[in-house]
Amino acid sequence: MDIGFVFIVVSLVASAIAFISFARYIKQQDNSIYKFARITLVIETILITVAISILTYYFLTRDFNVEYVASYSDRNLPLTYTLSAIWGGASGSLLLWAWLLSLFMTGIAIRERKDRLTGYALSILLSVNMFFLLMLVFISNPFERLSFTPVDGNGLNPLLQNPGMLFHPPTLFVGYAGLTVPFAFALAGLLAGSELWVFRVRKWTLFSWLFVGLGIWFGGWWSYSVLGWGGYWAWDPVENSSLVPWLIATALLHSIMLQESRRGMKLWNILLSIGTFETVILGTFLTRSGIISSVHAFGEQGVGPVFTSYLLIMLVASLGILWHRIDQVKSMNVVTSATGKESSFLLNNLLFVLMALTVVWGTLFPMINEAVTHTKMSVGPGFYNVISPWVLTLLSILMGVCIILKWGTTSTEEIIRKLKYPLTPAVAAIPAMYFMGIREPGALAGFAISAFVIAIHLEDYLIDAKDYAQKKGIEMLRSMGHLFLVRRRRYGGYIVHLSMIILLIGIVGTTFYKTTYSTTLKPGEPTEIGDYTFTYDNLSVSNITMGTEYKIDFLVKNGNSNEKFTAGMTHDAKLDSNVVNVGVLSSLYQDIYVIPEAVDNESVSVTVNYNPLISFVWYGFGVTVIGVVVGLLPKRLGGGEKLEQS
Amino acid sequence: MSKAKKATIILLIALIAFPFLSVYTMPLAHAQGTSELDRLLKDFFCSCGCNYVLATCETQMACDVATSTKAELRGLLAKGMTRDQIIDEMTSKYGNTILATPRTTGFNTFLWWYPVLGGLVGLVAVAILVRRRNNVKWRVDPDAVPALSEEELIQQLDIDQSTVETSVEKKYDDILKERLTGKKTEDTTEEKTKKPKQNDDQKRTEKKKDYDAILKEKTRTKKSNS
Repeated sequence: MDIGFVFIVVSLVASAIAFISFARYIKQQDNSIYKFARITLVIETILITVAISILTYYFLTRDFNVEYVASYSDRNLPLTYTLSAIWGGASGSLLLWAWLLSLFMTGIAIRERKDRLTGYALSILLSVNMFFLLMLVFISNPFERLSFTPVDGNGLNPLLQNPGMLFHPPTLFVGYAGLTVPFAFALAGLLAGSELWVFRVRKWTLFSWLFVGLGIWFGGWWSYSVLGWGGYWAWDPVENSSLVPWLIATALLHSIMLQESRRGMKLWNILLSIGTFETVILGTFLTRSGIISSVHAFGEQGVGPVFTSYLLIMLVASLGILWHRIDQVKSMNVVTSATGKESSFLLNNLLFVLMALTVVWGTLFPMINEAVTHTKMSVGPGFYNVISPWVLTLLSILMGVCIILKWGTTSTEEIIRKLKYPLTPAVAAIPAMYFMGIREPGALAGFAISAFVIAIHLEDYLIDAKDYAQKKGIEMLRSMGHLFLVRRRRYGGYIVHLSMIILLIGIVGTTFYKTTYSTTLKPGEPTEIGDYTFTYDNLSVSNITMGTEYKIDFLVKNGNSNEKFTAGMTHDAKLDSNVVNVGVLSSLYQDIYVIPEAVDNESVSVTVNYNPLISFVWYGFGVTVIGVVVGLLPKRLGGGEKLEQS
Repeated sequence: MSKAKKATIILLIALIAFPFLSVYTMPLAHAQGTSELDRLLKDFFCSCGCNYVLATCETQMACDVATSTKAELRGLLAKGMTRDQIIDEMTSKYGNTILATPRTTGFNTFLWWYPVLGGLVGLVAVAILVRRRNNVKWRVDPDAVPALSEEELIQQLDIDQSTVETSVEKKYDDILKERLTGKKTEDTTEEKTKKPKQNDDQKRTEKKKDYDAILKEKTRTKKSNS
């Protein structure tokens, strides 16, 4: 038996002890029991940290006697990709999941108040953690040893050998593990009869939401810059499965505000928390079960039925608890008027959840269809591309409109007064853009809505800053800065809204104005492709550890500017397959994206894409990070509205 | 004009101009309508098993299947076949799994109508919630929430803490007490709401006292029975 496996077994035992101890604390409310449970939890985290460190050690020392190490690495794998191979397969991913969840639990045990609510939440989180540890012990052991030691390992899938893979799965898993926290606290609230769970989950949910978003972002960047799809989103089933919890968590982040301020939407928030968790498990299941074929799915036999059972058991158990405690979930009414901010929150929740359910529906429909009609079918981008633009458009408009609405009610005069200035540039922009050459209705609408939303956020910010400056007797500029600290939640949200608009601009640009050319270039012969002149400058072939690497140098000329860049192809000798290394010449407003298809000394066949505004997609997420950081600023920075009130 | 005003105006203009600038700098010369072949390339999956539509498959790795299928589609278009005819031809040859945009007929009707149905049901639910306007109370400003402690929130939100501490265990304790003492337990909820600022330690001590009382009662009952 491997020492790493022993650590997993012992951490499972520690998890069970911590679980029982928290259950005892809930019953007896004895602080010493809580302390013991917490110490056991920390020990469990240390044990599982040691387990994952041992696996890392095996990868670094190329211990191919360990089946998992032999399956996902080889002697030639560079150090960085050796590290990413840890989560290259199902067992490693499950271990990473369990480890991250343990870190979250420790964080909660340290940061959150010691009471029954936290006790219940930690018990639930421990039960989830035990599920993953049980999977590692009985079904998917990463420390399984072979009866012989191979000379070399199988190597890592060449598509996974890139920097994107270093960040994409771990960030996504941090988000997934974190999104079990709202689920645990929602059930804990039901079991403990406490409404305070919403105040405790916000920061954990926001943090995890950011990480799921970052995971999606890294995935998009990886597929764009490495896989050479030429795009960042393909509505692949596994991509979809990461989008769904993100969408539901976005709805939750909005609707918990209604519970905070109005004590309403209680049932809805619990359902959203359960939905987030269920879709997180569904996402892990789809990626790891191999039930759906996808470039991302690294299926392993035996995992599927266990995940399906767990998914159903947790759904039935959570709905059972909800049913049993439904008399405690008495929501207050939240809406004073149809023109209140609350109404816009209801609509936004409807749109997010509708989109999430549509994506789940489209992803699972082939299986439902097969069960009913006994025929196979697929649901591809065509389906989502019909639905998603409508939801995106409505959500973007709502993002602007909700800003001018006040909590409670807003008079018609006030709406007109506040709409006047932001709407003017947006409406005026439509004919202006039309004459500039933007003729597609979708693009016109997308850019006009973007202008409207940005303007309306700015207007609200300036009015707020002016009022605050007058109230405090400070200068306008100082007031504009102070507001980010004092009303950090609101302005964190506004920055995230702004980031989504930047993203929208990128999506509109790439959707409507991407152009593609396919051609063959001869060495030293300038060829016009669109506005640019390309020259196939040089081909260098070198033997690398993986196989053979072909590097193709291009010269690109536009007017007076002359630039050089490289694309290429790597032939993986072991797998006997070619992996394309796309060449990207980036600027703020456009990427020149070159995909080599075939190459020899005489010619190179290439596909050239011009991707306008694609950088906005990447920068948009960067701004999201800033927004979330502002929203998560701690109490001691600026004090918040409370100071203002006192 | 003050510096602050100038800065504000510049910021305002810059941010509103942002989307338009983006549009202006786009290489509009390239803006082209989507050709029928481009649309078809997004309508069919590559049958090499990569799970990409034809438009993206070949960009990942040189794929012979994608190349030949593209050539086949070009051929069908050259024959003057319409999009629907091409879809029929391709599905009869490769099966329905090649179709990335499912048809809107048969069982697939459920696929396409589900979002519309979901949206309508959701709108009705929102309309019902919007119409419920009785006794809506402003309790706390969401902006203020991050700065408030849980005690302040409990106070401002008017949360009844008696249910928080006793909801689940109280039921079982009451049943236990009732069985042991033979008399119905007094409702302590009112008493607890009178002291909302009790701290956790006080509550625990009280609860311990309750348990002690039950234990004493239990011993007494046993003695009297014997």
